[in-house]
Amino acid sequence: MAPAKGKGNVKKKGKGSSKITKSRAPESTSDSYFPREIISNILSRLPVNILLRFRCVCKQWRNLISKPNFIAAHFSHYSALQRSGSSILIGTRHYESSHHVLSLYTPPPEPESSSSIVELDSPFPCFFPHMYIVGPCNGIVCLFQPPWGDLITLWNPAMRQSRMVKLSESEPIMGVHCWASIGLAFDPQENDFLVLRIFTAVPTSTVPNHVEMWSTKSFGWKKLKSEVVFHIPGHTSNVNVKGVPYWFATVTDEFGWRPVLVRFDVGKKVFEKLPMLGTGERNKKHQQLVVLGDSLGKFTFDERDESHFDVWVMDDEDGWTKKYNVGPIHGLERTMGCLRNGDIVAKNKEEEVFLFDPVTCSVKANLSIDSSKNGAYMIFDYSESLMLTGGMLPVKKQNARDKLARKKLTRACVDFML
Amino acid sequence: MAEAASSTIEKNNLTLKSSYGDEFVLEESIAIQSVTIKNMVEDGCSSSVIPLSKVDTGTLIKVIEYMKMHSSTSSNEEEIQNFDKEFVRISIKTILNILEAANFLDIRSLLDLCAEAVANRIKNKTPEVVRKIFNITSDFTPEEEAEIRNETPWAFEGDLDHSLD
Repeated sequence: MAPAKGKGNVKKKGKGSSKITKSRAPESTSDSYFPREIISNILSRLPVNILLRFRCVCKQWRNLISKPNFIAAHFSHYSALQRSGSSILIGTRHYESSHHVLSLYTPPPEPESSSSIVELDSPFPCFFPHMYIVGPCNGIVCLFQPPWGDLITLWNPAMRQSRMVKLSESEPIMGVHCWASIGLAFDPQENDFLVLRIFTAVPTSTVPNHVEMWSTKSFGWKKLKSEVVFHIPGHTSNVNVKGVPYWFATVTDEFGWRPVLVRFDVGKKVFEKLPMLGTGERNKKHQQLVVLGDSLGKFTFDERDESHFDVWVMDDEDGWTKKYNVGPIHGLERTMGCLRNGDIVAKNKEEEVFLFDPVTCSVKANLSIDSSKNGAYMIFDYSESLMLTGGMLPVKKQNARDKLARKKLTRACVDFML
Repeated sequence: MAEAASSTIEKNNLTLKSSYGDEFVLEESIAIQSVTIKNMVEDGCSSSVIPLSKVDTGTLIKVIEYMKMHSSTSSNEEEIQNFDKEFVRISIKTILNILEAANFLDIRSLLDLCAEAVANRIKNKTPEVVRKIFNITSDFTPEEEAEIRNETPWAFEGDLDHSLD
Protein backbone atom coordinates (compact mmCIF):
# COMPACT_ATOMS: atom_id res chain seq x y z
CA MET A 1 0.00 0.00 0.00
CA ALA A 2 1.68 3.17 -1.09
CA PRO A 3 -0.74 6.02 -1.27
CA ALA A 4 1.34 8.28 -3.46
CA LYS A 5 -0.59 11.46 -3.40
CA GLY A 6 -0.04 13.86 -6.27
CA LYS A 7 1.09 17.28 -5.24
CA GLY A 8 0.30 20.57 -6.80
CA ASN A 9 -2.69 19.16 -8.60
CA VAL A 10 -5.19 21.29 -6.84
CA LYS A 11 -7.80 21.77 -9.46
CA LYS A 12 -10.07 24.75 -9.48
CA LYS A 13 -13.60 24.07 -10.40
CA GLY A 14 -16.05 26.52 -11.82
CA LYS A 15 -16.19 29.03 -14.58
CA GLY A 16 -12.97 30.83 -13.68
CA SER A 17 -10.88 27.95 -14.91
CA SER A 18 -12.10 28.23 -18.50
CA LYS A 19 -9.76 31.20 -18.93
CA ILE A 20 -6.79 28.90 -18.91
CA THR A 21 -6.49 27.80 -22.48
CA LYS A 22 -3.64 25.35 -22.01
CA SER A 23 -4.60 23.68 -18.77
CA ARG A 24 -2.55 20.54 -18.37
CA ALA A 25 -4.06 17.41 -17.01
CA PRO A 26 -2.31 16.31 -13.85
CA GLU A 27 -0.83 12.83 -13.72
CA SER A 28 -3.16 10.22 -12.38
CA THR A 29 -2.13 8.77 -9.07
CA SER A 30 -4.85 6.21 -8.81
CA ASP A 31 -3.03 3.26 -10.39
CA SER A 32 -0.53 2.91 -7.61
CA TYR A 33 -3.14 2.87 -4.92
CA PHE A 34 -5.96 0.47 -5.55
CA PRO A 35 -5.94 -2.82 -7.46
CA ARG A 36 -7.79 -2.43 -10.73
CA GLU A 37 -9.70 -5.68 -10.35
CA ILE A 38 -11.25 -4.42 -7.11
CA ILE A 39 -12.38 -1.17 -8.76
CA SER A 40 -13.83 -3.22 -11.61
CA ASN A 41 -15.61 -5.51 -9.13
CA ILE A 42 -17.17 -2.57 -7.28
CA LEU A 43 -18.20 -0.67 -10.42
CA SER A 44 -19.76 -3.72 -12.09
CA ARG A 45 -22.40 -3.65 -9.32
CA LEU A 46 -23.63 -0.15 -10.13
CA PRO A 47 -26.42 0.97 -12.45
CA VAL A 48 -25.63 2.67 -15.75
CA ASN A 49 -26.49 6.24 -14.76
CA ILE A 50 -24.11 6.08 -11.81
CA LEU A 51 -21.30 4.71 -13.98
CA LEU A 52 -21.87 7.57 -16.41
CA ARG A 53 -21.44 9.95 -13.48
CA PHE A 54 -18.29 8.18 -12.31
CA ARG A 55 -16.71 8.43 -15.75
CA CYS A 56 -15.44 11.82 -14.65
CA VAL A 57 -13.65 10.52 -11.53
CA CYS A 58 -10.40 9.93 -13.46
CA LYS A 59 -9.17 8.62 -16.80
CA GLN A 60 -8.59 5.11 -15.46
CA TRP A 61 -12.24 4.87 -14.39
CA ARG A 62 -13.52 6.39 -17.62
CA ASN A 63 -11.46 3.98 -19.72
CA LEU A 64 -12.52 1.00 -17.62
CA ILE A 65 -16.22 1.90 -17.96
CA SER A 66 -15.95 2.00 -21.76
CA LYS A 67 -13.96 -1.25 -22.18
CA PRO A 68 -15.90 -4.06 -23.96
CA ASN A 69 -14.75 -6.57 -21.32
CA PHE A 70 -16.06 -4.43 -18.50
CA ILE A 71 -19.30 -3.70 -20.37
CA ALA A 72 -19.93 -7.43 -20.84
CA ALA A 73 -18.99 -8.22 -17.23
CA HIS A 74 -21.18 -5.39 -15.96
CA PHE A 75 -24.19 -6.64 -17.93
CA SER A 76 -23.96 -10.18 -16.59
CA HIS A 77 -22.99 -9.11 -13.08
CA TYR A 78 -25.46 -6.29 -12.61
CA SER A 79 -28.41 -8.17 -14.09
CA ALA A 80 -27.64 -11.17 -11.87
CA LEU A 81 -27.50 -8.89 -8.83
CA GLN A 82 -31.00 -7.46 -9.27
CA ARG A 83 -32.17 -9.20 -6.13
CA SER A 84 -35.06 -6.94 -5.39
CA GLY A 85 -36.56 -7.86 -8.76
CA SER A 86 -36.17 -6.72 -12.32
CA SER A 87 -36.86 -3.41 -13.92
CA ILE A 88 -39.73 -3.55 -16.39
CA LEU A 89 -39.94 -1.72 -19.68
CA ILE A 90 -43.59 -0.89 -20.33
CA GLY A 91 -44.80 0.09 -23.77
CA THR A 92 -48.39 1.35 -23.92
CA ARG A 93 -50.56 2.45 -26.77
CA HIS A 94 -53.85 4.21 -26.30
CA TYR A 95 -56.56 2.48 -28.34
CA GLU A 96 -58.15 5.68 -29.63
CA SER A 97 -55.37 8.21 -30.05
CA SER A 98 -52.64 5.61 -30.86
CA HIS A 99 -50.43 7.66 -28.58
CA HIS A 100 -47.61 5.40 -27.43
CA VAL A 101 -45.62 5.86 -24.29
CA LEU A 102 -42.51 4.06 -23.09
CA SER A 103 -42.08 3.83 -19.34
CA LEU A 104 -39.73 2.14 -16.94
CA TYR A 105 -40.76 0.49 -13.70
CA THR A 106 -37.95 0.27 -11.14
CA PRO A 107 -38.43 -2.03 -8.15
CA PRO A 108 -37.85 -0.66 -4.66
CA PRO A 109 -34.06 -0.52 -4.10
CA GLU A 110 -34.50 -1.50 -0.44
CA PRO A 111 -37.41 -3.38 1.11
CA GLU A 112 -38.68 -0.30 2.92
CA SER A 113 -38.42 2.12 -0.03
CA SER A 114 -40.90 2.50 -2.85
CA SER A 115 -40.91 1.56 -6.52
CA SER A 116 -41.24 4.07 -9.33
CA ILE A 117 -42.59 4.31 -12.87
CA VAL A 118 -41.11 7.04 -15.05
CA GLU A 119 -41.86 7.95 -18.64
CA LEU A 120 -38.84 7.69 -20.94
CA ASP A 121 -37.99 9.89 -23.90
CA SER A 122 -38.94 7.75 -26.87
CA PRO A 123 -36.53 7.70 -29.80
CA PHE A 124 -39.29 6.43 -32.12
CA PRO A 125 -40.64 9.15 -34.40
CA CYS A 126 -43.90 10.05 -32.64
CA PHE A 127 -45.50 10.95 -35.95
CA PHE A 128 -46.00 7.28 -36.73
CA PRO A 129 -48.88 5.87 -34.72
CA HIS A 130 -47.87 2.21 -34.77
CA MET A 131 -44.88 0.98 -32.87
CA TYR A 132 -43.87 -2.49 -31.77
CA ILE A 133 -41.13 -3.40 -29.33
CA VAL A 134 -38.82 -6.39 -29.56
CA GLY A 135 -36.01 -7.42 -27.25
CA PRO A 136 -34.53 -6.45 -24.95
CA CYS A 137 -31.28 -8.09 -25.82
CA ASN A 138 -28.21 -7.18 -23.74
CA GLY A 139 -29.80 -3.90 -22.76
CA ILE A 140 -30.74 -2.94 -26.33
CA VAL A 141 -34.36 -2.64 -27.43
CA CYS A 142 -35.61 -2.59 -31.02
CA LEU A 143 -38.60 -0.44 -32.00
CA PHE A 144 -40.28 -0.68 -35.39
CA GLN A 145 -43.43 -0.10 -37.35
CA PRO A 146 -45.69 -3.00 -38.33
CA PRO A 147 -46.69 -4.70 -40.55
CA TRP A 148 -43.52 -4.71 -42.69
CA GLY A 149 -40.96 -3.90 -40.02
CA ASP A 150 -39.73 -0.53 -41.12
CA LEU A 151 -38.50 2.49 -39.13
CA ILE A 152 -36.34 0.04 -37.18
CA THR A 153 -34.78 1.91 -34.26
CA LEU A 154 -32.20 0.42 -31.91
CA TRP A 155 -32.31 1.98 -28.49
CA ASN A 156 -30.40 1.70 -25.23
CA PRO A 157 -32.88 3.18 -22.72
CA ALA A 158 -30.38 3.37 -19.83
CA MET A 159 -27.75 5.16 -21.93
CA ARG A 160 -30.50 7.24 -23.60
CA GLN A 161 -28.98 6.65 -27.01
CA SER A 162 -30.47 5.32 -30.21
CA ARG A 163 -29.97 4.95 -33.93
CA MET A 164 -32.20 4.14 -36.85
CA VAL A 165 -31.40 1.21 -39.06
CA LYS A 166 -31.05 1.87 -42.76
CA LEU A 167 -34.09 0.86 -44.76
CA SER A 168 -33.81 -2.46 -46.50
CA GLU A 169 -34.34 -2.52 -50.23
CA SER A 170 -36.28 -5.78 -50.25
CA GLU A 171 -39.97 -5.58 -50.82
CA PRO A 172 -42.49 -8.19 -49.76
CA ILE A 173 -44.34 -10.07 -52.47
CA MET A 174 -48.04 -9.42 -52.17
CA GLY A 175 -50.03 -12.60 -52.05
CA VAL A 176 -47.00 -14.62 -50.86
CA HIS A 177 -45.94 -12.70 -47.77
CA CYS A 178 -48.39 -11.58 -45.18
CA TRP A 179 -46.22 -9.48 -42.83
CA ALA A 180 -42.76 -9.12 -41.39
CA SER A 181 -41.70 -10.48 -38.03
CA ILE A 182 -38.76 -8.81 -36.33
CA GLY A 183 -36.25 -10.36 -33.95
CA LEU A 184 -33.16 -9.04 -32.22
CA ALA A 185 -30.13 -11.24 -31.55
CA PHE A 186 -26.70 -10.80 -30.02
CA ASP A 187 -23.60 -12.58 -31.23
CA PRO A 188 -21.21 -12.68 -28.24
CA GLN A 189 -18.30 -13.93 -30.37
CA GLU A 190 -18.40 -10.90 -32.63
CA ASN A 191 -19.89 -8.52 -30.06
CA ASP A 192 -22.50 -7.83 -32.70
CA PHE A 193 -26.22 -7.01 -32.55
CA LEU A 194 -28.29 -8.55 -35.32
CA VAL A 195 -31.72 -7.45 -36.47
CA LEU A 196 -33.69 -10.19 -38.21
CA ARG A 197 -36.52 -9.34 -40.55
CA ILE A 198 -38.61 -12.22 -41.78
CA PHE A 199 -41.22 -11.77 -44.49
CA THR A 200 -43.39 -14.63 -43.41
CA ALA A 201 -45.35 -16.59 -45.95
CA VAL A 202 -49.09 -17.12 -45.67
CA PRO A 203 -49.97 -20.10 -43.38
CA THR A 204 -50.17 -22.95 -45.88
CA SER A 205 -47.53 -21.70 -48.31
CA THR A 206 -44.64 -23.91 -49.40
CA VAL A 207 -42.44 -20.94 -50.31
CA PRO A 208 -39.56 -20.36 -47.86
CA ASN A 209 -39.68 -17.10 -45.95
CA HIS A 210 -37.61 -14.19 -47.09
CA VAL A 211 -35.13 -13.64 -44.23
CA GLU A 212 -32.71 -10.78 -43.99
CA MET A 213 -30.27 -9.73 -41.32
CA TRP A 214 -28.80 -6.37 -40.40
CA SER A 215 -25.63 -6.36 -38.34
CA THR A 216 -23.88 -3.63 -36.37
CA LYS A 217 -20.60 -4.80 -37.90
CA SER A 218 -21.61 -4.34 -41.54
CA PHE A 219 -24.35 -1.70 -41.14
CA GLY A 220 -26.12 -3.31 -44.08
CA TRP A 221 -28.83 -5.85 -44.84
CA LYS A 222 -27.93 -9.31 -46.03
CA LYS A 223 -30.33 -11.96 -47.29
CA LEU A 224 -30.03 -15.22 -45.38
CA LYS A 225 -30.54 -18.64 -46.85
CA SER A 226 -33.75 -20.02 -45.50
CA GLU A 227 -34.74 -23.51 -46.46
CA VAL A 228 -37.07 -24.05 -43.56
CA VAL A 229 -40.67 -23.33 -44.47
CA PHE A 230 -42.68 -21.97 -41.58
CA HIS A 231 -45.31 -19.41 -40.83
CA ILE A 232 -44.89 -16.92 -37.99
CA PRO A 233 -48.16 -15.64 -36.58
CA GLY A 234 -46.68 -12.62 -34.73
CA HIS A 235 -44.94 -9.38 -35.66
CA THR A 236 -42.09 -10.01 -33.21
CA SER A 237 -40.13 -12.89 -31.78
CA ASN A 238 -41.92 -14.14 -28.65
CA VAL A 239 -38.97 -14.15 -26.29
CA ASN A 240 -35.24 -13.56 -26.23
CA VAL A 241 -33.10 -15.89 -24.14
CA LYS A 242 -29.48 -14.74 -23.70
CA GLY A 243 -29.41 -13.03 -27.08
CA VAL A 244 -31.27 -15.78 -28.95
CA PRO A 245 -34.77 -14.97 -30.29
CA TYR A 246 -37.53 -17.62 -30.26
CA TRP A 247 -40.75 -17.62 -32.25
CA PHE A 248 -43.94 -19.58 -32.10
CA ALA A 249 -44.44 -20.81 -35.66
CA THR A 250 -46.44 -23.31 -37.62
CA VAL A 251 -45.37 -25.68 -40.38
CA THR A 252 -47.38 -27.52 -42.99
CA ASP A 253 -45.75 -30.62 -44.44
CA GLU A 254 -46.59 -34.22 -45.30
CA PHE A 255 -47.64 -34.76 -41.67
CA GLY A 256 -50.08 -31.89 -41.83
CA TRP A 257 -50.24 -28.59 -40.01
CA ARG A 258 -48.61 -28.29 -36.59
CA PRO A 259 -47.13 -25.75 -34.24
CA VAL A 260 -43.34 -25.64 -33.81
CA LEU A 261 -40.82 -23.48 -32.04
CA VAL A 262 -38.24 -21.67 -34.15
CA ARG A 263 -35.01 -20.15 -32.90
CA PHE A 264 -32.17 -18.35 -34.58
CA ASP A 265 -28.77 -19.99 -34.21
CA VAL A 266 -26.60 -16.92 -33.73
CA GLY A 267 -23.32 -18.71 -34.48
CA LYS A 268 -24.41 -20.50 -37.66
CA LYS A 269 -26.85 -17.77 -38.71
CA VAL A 270 -29.64 -20.24 -39.49
CA PHE A 271 -33.09 -20.99 -38.11
CA GLU A 272 -33.70 -24.16 -36.18
CA LYS A 273 -37.02 -25.89 -35.67
CA LEU A 274 -37.66 -27.26 -32.18
CA PRO A 275 -40.56 -29.50 -31.34
CA MET A 276 -43.39 -27.88 -29.45
CA LEU A 277 -44.02 -30.82 -27.16
CA GLY A 278 -47.54 -31.39 -26.06
CA THR A 279 -48.25 -30.80 -22.42
CA GLY A 280 -49.83 -34.19 -21.92
CA GLU A 281 -52.93 -32.58 -20.55
CA ARG A 282 -55.65 -32.21 -23.07
CA ASN A 283 -57.35 -29.18 -21.62
CA LYS A 284 -54.14 -27.11 -21.25
CA LYS A 285 -53.68 -26.17 -24.85
CA HIS A 286 -53.01 -22.50 -24.52
CA GLN A 287 -49.27 -21.76 -24.26
CA GLN A 288 -47.19 -18.66 -23.68
CA LEU A 289 -43.41 -18.42 -24.03
CA VAL A 290 -41.53 -16.74 -21.19
CA VAL A 291 -37.97 -16.37 -19.93
CA LEU A 292 -37.19 -17.75 -16.48
CA GLY A 293 -33.73 -17.10 -15.12
CA ASP A 294 -31.55 -17.78 -18.13
CA SER A 295 -33.84 -20.42 -19.60
CA LEU A 296 -36.71 -20.64 -22.02
CA GLY A 297 -39.95 -21.32 -20.22
CA LYS A 298 -43.63 -21.52 -20.99
CA PHE A 299 -46.96 -21.21 -19.26
CA THR A 300 -49.70 -23.62 -20.18
CA PHE A 301 -53.31 -22.79 -19.42
CA ASP A 302 -56.70 -24.21 -19.53
CA GLU A 303 -58.23 -22.10 -22.27
CA ARG A 304 -61.27 -21.15 -20.22
CA ASP A 305 -59.40 -20.17 -17.09
CA GLU A 306 -56.19 -18.19 -16.92
CA SER A 307 -56.09 -17.72 -13.16
CA HIS A 308 -53.94 -20.80 -12.71
CA PHE A 309 -51.40 -22.39 -14.98
CA ASP A 310 -48.35 -24.65 -15.15
CA VAL A 311 -44.81 -23.38 -15.56
CA TRP A 312 -42.38 -25.35 -17.73
CA VAL A 313 -38.69 -24.85 -18.42
CA MET A 314 -36.77 -26.15 -21.40
CA ASP A 315 -33.18 -27.19 -21.63
CA ASP A 316 -31.47 -28.50 -24.72
CA GLU A 317 -30.82 -31.94 -23.28
CA ASP A 318 -33.93 -32.84 -21.34
CA GLY A 319 -36.48 -30.87 -23.32
CA TRP A 320 -39.50 -29.49 -21.45
CA THR A 321 -39.90 -30.15 -17.72
CA LYS A 322 -42.83 -29.02 -15.63
CA LYS A 323 -41.45 -26.98 -12.73
CA TYR A 324 -44.40 -25.77 -10.69
CA ASN A 325 -47.92 -24.52 -10.94
CA VAL A 326 -49.27 -21.12 -10.05
CA GLY A 327 -52.60 -19.99 -8.76
CA PRO A 328 -55.39 -19.57 -8.67
CA ILE A 329 -54.60 -15.86 -8.51
CA HIS A 330 -57.74 -14.07 -7.46
CA GLY A 331 -58.87 -11.35 -9.84
CA LEU A 332 -56.47 -12.29 -12.61
CA GLU A 333 -58.07 -12.03 -16.02
CA ARG A 334 -55.18 -12.53 -18.43
CA THR A 335 -51.46 -13.14 -17.93
CA MET A 336 -49.15 -10.99 -20.01
CA GLY A 337 -45.91 -12.73 -19.16
CA CYS A 338 -43.44 -12.94 -16.36
CA LEU A 339 -40.11 -11.62 -15.17
CA ARG A 340 -36.91 -13.63 -14.96
CA ASN A 341 -37.47 -14.17 -11.23
CA GLY A 342 -40.87 -15.76 -11.94
CA ASP A 343 -43.06 -12.81 -10.92
CA ILE A 344 -46.20 -12.71 -13.06
CA VAL A 345 -47.46 -9.68 -14.97
CA ALA A 346 -51.21 -9.85 -15.55
CA LYS A 347 -54.35 -7.84 -16.20
CA ASN A 348 -57.40 -7.87 -13.97
CA LYS A 349 -61.01 -7.47 -15.07
CA GLU A 350 -60.72 -3.68 -14.94
CA GLU A 351 -57.84 -3.82 -17.47
CA GLU A 352 -55.34 -2.75 -14.83
CA VAL A 353 -51.89 -4.28 -15.02
CA PHE A 354 -50.33 -5.83 -11.94
CA LEU A 355 -47.20 -7.60 -10.85
CA PHE A 356 -48.03 -10.78 -8.92
CA ASP A 357 -45.92 -12.88 -6.63
CA PRO A 358 -46.50 -16.46 -7.85
CA VAL A 359 -45.79 -18.00 -4.43
CA THR A 360 -48.10 -15.90 -2.29
CA CYS A 361 -50.43 -15.08 -5.25
CA SER A 362 -50.48 -11.49 -3.98
CA VAL A 363 -50.06 -8.18 -5.79
CA LYS A 364 -46.52 -6.77 -5.65
CA ALA A 365 -47.03 -3.60 -7.69
CA ASN A 366 -49.52 -1.85 -9.89
CA LEU A 367 -47.97 -1.26 -13.31
CA SER A 368 -50.87 0.64 -14.84
CA ILE A 369 -49.95 3.78 -16.71
CA ASP A 370 -52.58 6.43 -15.99
CA SER A 371 -52.66 7.85 -19.49
CA SER A 372 -53.09 4.40 -20.98
CA LYS A 373 -56.30 3.21 -19.50
CA ASN A 374 -57.98 1.58 -22.45
CA GLY A 375 -54.66 0.83 -24.00
CA ALA A 376 -52.52 -2.02 -25.20
CA TYR A 377 -49.58 -3.00 -23.02
CA MET A 378 -46.26 -4.55 -23.88
CA ILE A 379 -44.19 -5.68 -20.91
CA PHE A 380 -40.50 -6.58 -20.92
CA ASP A 381 -38.09 -7.66 -18.21
CA TYR A 382 -35.33 -5.14 -18.70
CA SER A 383 -31.70 -5.37 -17.55
CA GLU A 384 -29.75 -2.28 -18.36
CA SER A 385 -26.33 -2.30 -19.98
CA LEU A 386 -23.63 0.07 -21.18
CA MET A 387 -23.68 -1.50 -24.64
CA LEU A 388 -23.98 0.74 -27.65
CA THR A 389 -23.88 0.10 -31.35
CA GLY A 390 -21.94 2.32 -33.71
CA GLY A 391 -23.81 5.39 -34.83
CA MET A 392 -25.96 5.76 -31.73
CA LEU A 393 -26.74 9.31 -30.67
CA PRO A 394 -28.42 10.80 -27.59
CA VAL A 395 -32.22 10.61 -27.74
CA LYS A 396 -33.73 14.07 -28.13
CA LYS A 397 -36.94 15.05 -26.43
CA GLN A 398 -39.63 14.99 -29.06
CA ASN A 399 -41.42 18.18 -29.69
CA ALA A 400 -44.82 18.48 -28.04
CA ARG A 401 -45.99 20.26 -31.17
CA ASP A 402 -45.16 17.20 -33.29
CA LYS A 403 -47.16 15.02 -30.94
CA LEU A 404 -50.11 17.40 -31.21
CA ALA A 405 -49.83 17.48 -35.01
CA ARG A 406 -49.88 13.68 -35.12
CA LYS A 407 -52.90 13.58 -32.87
CA LYS A 408 -54.76 16.00 -35.16
CA LEU A 409 -53.78 14.04 -38.22
CA THR A 410 -54.94 10.75 -36.68
CA ARG A 411 -58.25 12.34 -35.80
CA ALA A 412 -58.64 13.77 -39.30
CA CYS A 413 -57.96 10.32 -40.78
CA VAL A 414 -60.53 8.73 -38.53
CA ASP A 415 -63.08 11.40 -39.46
CA PHE A 416 -62.32 10.90 -43.13
CA MET A 417 -62.78 7.14 -42.90
CA LEU A 418 -66.10 7.58 -41.15
CA MET B 1 -9.57 -29.89 2.60
CA ALA B 2 -11.59 -28.57 5.54
CA GLU B 3 -12.68 -32.11 6.39
CA ALA B 4 -9.18 -33.44 6.22
CA ALA B 5 -7.97 -30.74 8.60
CA SER B 6 -10.67 -31.31 11.22
CA SER B 7 -10.32 -35.07 11.11
CA THR B 8 -6.75 -34.99 12.31
CA ILE B 9 -6.46 -35.70 16.02
CA GLU B 10 -4.68 -32.50 16.86
CA LYS B 11 -6.11 -29.34 15.46
CA ASN B 12 -3.52 -27.65 13.35
CA ASN B 13 -2.96 -24.03 14.16
CA LEU B 14 -1.50 -21.37 11.92
CA THR B 15 0.05 -18.08 12.90
CA LEU B 16 -0.80 -15.04 10.81
CA LYS B 17 1.44 -11.99 11.15
CA SER B 18 0.16 -8.52 10.29
CA SER B 19 2.23 -5.78 8.66
CA TYR B 20 2.72 -4.28 12.13
CA GLY B 21 4.25 -7.53 13.35
CA ASP B 22 1.29 -8.62 15.49
CA GLU B 23 0.74 -12.37 15.46
CA PHE B 24 -2.59 -14.16 15.52
CA VAL B 25 -3.03 -17.89 16.03
CA LEU B 26 -5.88 -19.41 14.08
CA GLU B 27 -7.12 -22.93 13.40
CA GLU B 28 -6.01 -24.10 10.00
CA SER B 29 -9.55 -25.18 9.10
CA ILE B 30 -10.69 -21.59 9.59
CA ALA B 31 -7.73 -19.92 7.89
CA ILE B 32 -7.98 -21.94 4.71
CA GLN B 33 -11.10 -20.05 3.67
CA SER B 34 -8.38 -17.89 2.21
CA VAL B 35 -7.29 -19.56 -1.00
CA THR B 36 -3.90 -17.87 -0.66
CA ILE B 37 -3.33 -19.44 2.79
CA LYS B 38 -4.76 -22.76 1.61
CA ASN B 39 -2.22 -22.84 -1.21
CA MET B 40 0.57 -22.04 1.27
CA VAL B 41 -0.56 -24.86 3.54
CA GLU B 42 -0.68 -27.28 0.63
CA ASP B 43 2.79 -26.20 -0.41
CA GLY B 44 4.00 -27.07 3.07
CA CYS B 45 4.61 -23.62 4.52
CA SER B 46 2.09 -24.09 7.31
CA SER B 47 4.54 -24.86 10.11
CA SER B 48 6.02 -21.40 10.04
CA VAL B 49 4.43 -18.04 10.64
CA ILE B 50 2.55 -16.65 7.62
CA PRO B 51 3.58 -13.03 7.12
CA LEU B 52 0.87 -10.80 5.65
CA SER B 53 2.90 -7.74 4.82
CA LYS B 54 -0.04 -6.08 3.05
CA VAL B 55 -2.54 -6.42 5.89
CA ASP B 56 -2.42 -4.15 8.95
CA THR B 57 -3.42 -5.33 12.42
CA GLY B 58 -6.87 -3.69 12.52
CA THR B 59 -7.80 -5.13 9.15
CA LEU B 60 -6.48 -8.58 10.04
CA ILE B 61 -8.60 -8.62 13.20
CA LYS B 62 -11.70 -7.91 11.10
CA VAL B 63 -10.77 -10.56 8.52
CA ILE B 64 -10.25 -13.18 11.25
CA GLU B 65 -13.56 -12.20 12.86
CA TYR B 66 -15.24 -12.78 9.49
CA MET B 67 -13.53 -16.12 8.86
CA LYS B 68 -14.39 -17.38 12.36
CA MET B 69 -18.05 -16.51 11.93
CA HIS B 70 -18.27 -18.05 8.47
CA SER B 71 -16.65 -21.33 9.47
CA SER B 72 -18.69 -21.69 12.64
CA THR B 73 -21.04 -24.63 12.40
CA SER B 74 -23.26 -23.45 15.24
CA SER B 75 -24.58 -20.33 13.48
CA ASN B 76 -27.49 -20.56 11.07
CA GLU B 77 -28.00 -18.71 7.81
CA GLU B 78 -29.95 -15.89 9.38
CA GLU B 79 -27.27 -15.27 11.99
CA ILE B 80 -24.62 -15.13 9.30
CA GLN B 81 -26.73 -12.71 7.26
CA ASN B 82 -27.13 -10.44 10.27
CA PHE B 83 -23.44 -10.72 11.04
CA ASP B 84 -22.59 -9.68 7.45
CA LYS B 85 -24.95 -6.72 7.67
CA GLU B 86 -23.32 -5.51 10.88
CA PHE B 87 -19.83 -6.36 9.66
CA VAL B 88 -19.90 -3.69 6.93
CA ARG B 89 -21.36 -0.98 9.18
CA ILE B 90 -17.93 0.66 9.39
CA SER B 91 -16.22 3.49 7.55
CA ILE B 92 -15.78 3.10 3.79
CA LYS B 93 -12.02 3.46 4.24
CA THR B 94 -12.00 0.47 6.57
CA ILE B 95 -14.09 -1.58 4.14
CA LEU B 96 -11.65 -0.69 1.38
CA ASN B 97 -8.76 -1.96 3.53
CA ILE B 98 -10.64 -5.21 4.13
CA LEU B 99 -11.37 -5.42 0.39
CA GLU B 100 -7.70 -5.20 -0.42
CA ALA B 101 -6.91 -7.84 2.19
CA ALA B 102 -9.71 -10.10 0.91
CA ASN B 103 -8.36 -9.67 -2.60
CA PHE B 104 -4.81 -10.55 -1.52
CA LEU B 105 -5.95 -13.44 0.68
CA ASP B 106 -8.43 -14.55 -1.99
CA ILE B 107 -11.56 -14.89 0.15
CA ARG B 108 -14.30 -14.72 -2.46
CA SER B 109 -17.33 -14.25 -0.19
CA LEU B 110 -15.65 -11.48 1.82
CA LEU B 111 -14.60 -9.78 -1.39
CA ASP B 112 -18.19 -9.86 -2.68
CA LEU B 113 -19.63 -8.66 0.62
CA CYS B 114 -17.26 -5.67 0.79
CA ALA B 115 -17.49 -4.78 -2.92
CA GLU B 116 -21.28 -4.78 -2.66
CA ALA B 117 -21.14 -2.64 0.48
CA VAL B 118 -18.80 -0.09 -1.14
CA ALA B 119 -20.94 0.03 -4.30
CA ASN B 120 -24.00 0.72 -2.14
CA ARG B 121 -22.26 3.39 -0.13
CA ILE B 122 -20.80 5.34 -3.09
CA LYS B 123 -23.74 5.16 -5.50
CA ASN B 124 -25.27 8.48 -4.48
CA LYS B 125 -21.99 10.34 -4.09
CA THR B 126 -20.47 13.05 -6.21
CA PRO B 127 -17.36 12.27 -8.30
CA GLU B 128 -15.39 14.66 -6.06
CA VAL B 129 -16.22 12.67 -2.95
CA VAL B 130 -15.52 9.36 -4.71
CA ARG B 131 -12.04 10.66 -5.59
CA LYS B 132 -11.38 11.47 -1.94
CA ILE B 133 -12.59 8.05 -0.80
CA PHE B 134 -10.36 6.23 -3.28
CA ASN B 135 -7.48 8.67 -2.87
CA ILE B 136 -7.61 9.57 -6.56
CA THR B 137 -6.41 12.86 -7.99
CA SER B 138 -8.33 13.75 -11.11
CA ASP B 139 -6.23 13.67 -14.25
CA PHE B 140 -8.82 15.49 -16.34
CA THR B 141 -8.50 19.10 -17.35
CA PRO B 142 -11.52 21.18 -16.29
CA GLU B 143 -12.53 21.30 -19.97
CA GLU B 144 -12.38 17.53 -20.32
CA GLU B 145 -14.42 17.06 -17.16
CA ALA B 146 -17.01 19.59 -18.29
CA GLU B 147 -17.29 17.74 -21.58
CA ILE B 148 -18.00 14.42 -19.86
CA ARG B 149 -20.62 16.10 -17.69
CA ASN B 150 -22.24 17.65 -20.76
CA GLU B 151 -22.51 14.30 -22.53
CA THR B 152 -24.95 12.95 -19.94
CA PRO B 153 -26.08 15.88 -17.78
CA TRP B 154 -28.95 13.76 -16.38
CA ALA B 155 -26.47 11.43 -14.70
CA PHE B 156 -25.42 14.34 -12.48
CA GLU B 157 -28.92 15.39 -11.47
CA GLY B 158 -30.74 14.65 -8.24
CA ASP B 159 -29.74 14.80 -4.61
CA LEU B 160 -26.12 13.80 -4.50
CA ASP B 161 -24.40 12.96 -1.27
CA HIS B 162 -21.36 15.09 -0.45
CA SER B 163 -20.37 13.30 2.74
CA LEU B 164 -17.19 11.26 2.88
CA ASP B 165 -18.76 8.31 4.63
